[in-house]
Amino acid sequence: MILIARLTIWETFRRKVLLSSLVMTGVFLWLFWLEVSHEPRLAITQNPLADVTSAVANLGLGAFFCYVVIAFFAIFSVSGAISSEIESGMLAAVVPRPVYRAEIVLGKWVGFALVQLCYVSFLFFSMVVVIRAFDARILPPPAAIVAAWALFVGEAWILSAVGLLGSVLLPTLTNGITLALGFLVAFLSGGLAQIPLGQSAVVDRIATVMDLLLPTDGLYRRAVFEMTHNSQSLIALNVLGPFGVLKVPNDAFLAYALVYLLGVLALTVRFFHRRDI
Amino acid sequence: MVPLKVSDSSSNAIEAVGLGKRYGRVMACQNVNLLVRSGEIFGFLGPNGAGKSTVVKILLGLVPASQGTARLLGRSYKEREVHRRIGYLPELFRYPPWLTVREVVTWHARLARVLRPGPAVAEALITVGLGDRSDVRVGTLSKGLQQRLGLAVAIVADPDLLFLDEPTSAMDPVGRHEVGVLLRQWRARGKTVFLNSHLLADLEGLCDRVALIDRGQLLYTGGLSDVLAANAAYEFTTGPVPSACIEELRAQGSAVEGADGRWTYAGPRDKLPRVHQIFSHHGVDVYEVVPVRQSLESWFLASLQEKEVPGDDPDRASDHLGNFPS
Repeated sequence: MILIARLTIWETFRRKVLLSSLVMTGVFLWLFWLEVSHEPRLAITQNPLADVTSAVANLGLGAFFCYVVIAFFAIFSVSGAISSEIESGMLAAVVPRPVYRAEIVLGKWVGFALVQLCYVSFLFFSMVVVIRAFDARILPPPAAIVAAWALFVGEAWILSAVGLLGSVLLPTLTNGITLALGFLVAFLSGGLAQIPLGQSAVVDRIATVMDLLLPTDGLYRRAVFEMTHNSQSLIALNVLGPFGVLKVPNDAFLAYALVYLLGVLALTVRFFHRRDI
Repeated sequence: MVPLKVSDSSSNAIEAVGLGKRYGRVMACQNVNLLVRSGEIFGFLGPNGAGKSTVVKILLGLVPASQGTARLLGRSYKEREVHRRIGYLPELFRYPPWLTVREVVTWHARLARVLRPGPAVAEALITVGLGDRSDVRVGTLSKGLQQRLGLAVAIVADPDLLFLDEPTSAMDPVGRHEVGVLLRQWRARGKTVFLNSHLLADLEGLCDRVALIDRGQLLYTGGLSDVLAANAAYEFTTGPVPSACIEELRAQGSAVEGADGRWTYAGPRDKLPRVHQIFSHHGVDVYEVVPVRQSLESWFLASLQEKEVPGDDPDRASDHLGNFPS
């Protein structure tokens, strides 16, 4: 399993996947810096509420960007992890080796998970540094920041597990499109449930079902909650709208997300075991 | 279970019983019984879509069998441990183009749990003629060189059983010759080679035994020399042949065809004296008798056309298959 994981990590470095992602992320962070640095300061506006609102908006923007970029990074990384290697004949030389198929699947996931851990950490903490440079008081305590970081890591790990499962069952392109659309649908249904006016039981039910099918949106909402609940939750709710969090996913949901991750990996192993190469 | 010793000539490298694979309504292969002895080069023949690669893939665990079972090197083909002693060159393969030649072979050596990958990798690369290209990126290699790389990957763990699926299809004549030499050396060391190839001329000089599969069913298994001998023909250069002579020859049950003093007799060698006697009896002058060399390809084509394979003796086949595990 370690050999497979090592090759996966090696590939991201040798093919400059991580490098190009980091460069593009650097460009974003620079733009984010410009955005945050150009917000009018309290000394200029003399309006504390506007100042806090602006800071919360920046925090929400940063969190949302992390959420989307992490998702793209995970989806594009794994969508062809198994299927493209079957199609190209790469796995045909590996499977007859004295390795269990489970080792191949789990090795790949561990490789992706470690790369994503590095990338998410760089992205998330860079964003925190930018916000801290201008609005340090809006940031939550370190424990909440770490919790939000862990939730974003969880988002990446879940998407890569689901992507790996899809890669066993579907062709590369189909898997990538399906996963990307599934991610967006989960976000939209979660976003609808955050709008206080016009809520309905149907919307709530859809959001719940989508959270169960793909718990990435729930993890994002909880991360936003961790980042904003310190003292500004009411403002955050008003400012962030569908990007904020009205109904906070509880600890049971986090436990479900963990079980979901393990379950998807188990399913991937099971399906790959019977997959024709 | 105690694994069979590969160098023991009485042991078998591959024993497959009733192997079959179903894709939806289509049986890619069915009821395939195979026996490959240790230390031989075994040719697995068949036209495109006959089921050759499916059988190989089942044996290697690439596709699960719908029916039947098999043993490799004396152990169940499903045991992962037995795969330490197996090398495989797929027909359609690709290695990570961003790795160097040495890195690919080293990675596979580690996967195969080779204890000291360094010397094994160097030896494998030299053996296949890639010793001077070990630091080249795989993506820059030609198809023929990639096939050599595939061969290096297959042999790096010094396997006792080597599966090669079209190993020389992209190689030039020099490369094909070198692979032939390599496989003979492999056999001389007591190793077994299971060769799946369309290049029948190459197989002809290499294989000890062959099997023919078509439409998923095994048609024949036996010695290559038996195949060629059973399809032997002899060309007689004669003077004028009276029609009575031809009729008598045909009455013997021999296939005799020809004209203008060149007559071809197709049949067993032990009937040659009788044919000669008939010519003499009718006063036909025989100037020359030349054995016509039957190629594997002509046997292959004839077999597929007739579906009744000359030289295929069911009793003998059952002898081959008789000691299969139940």
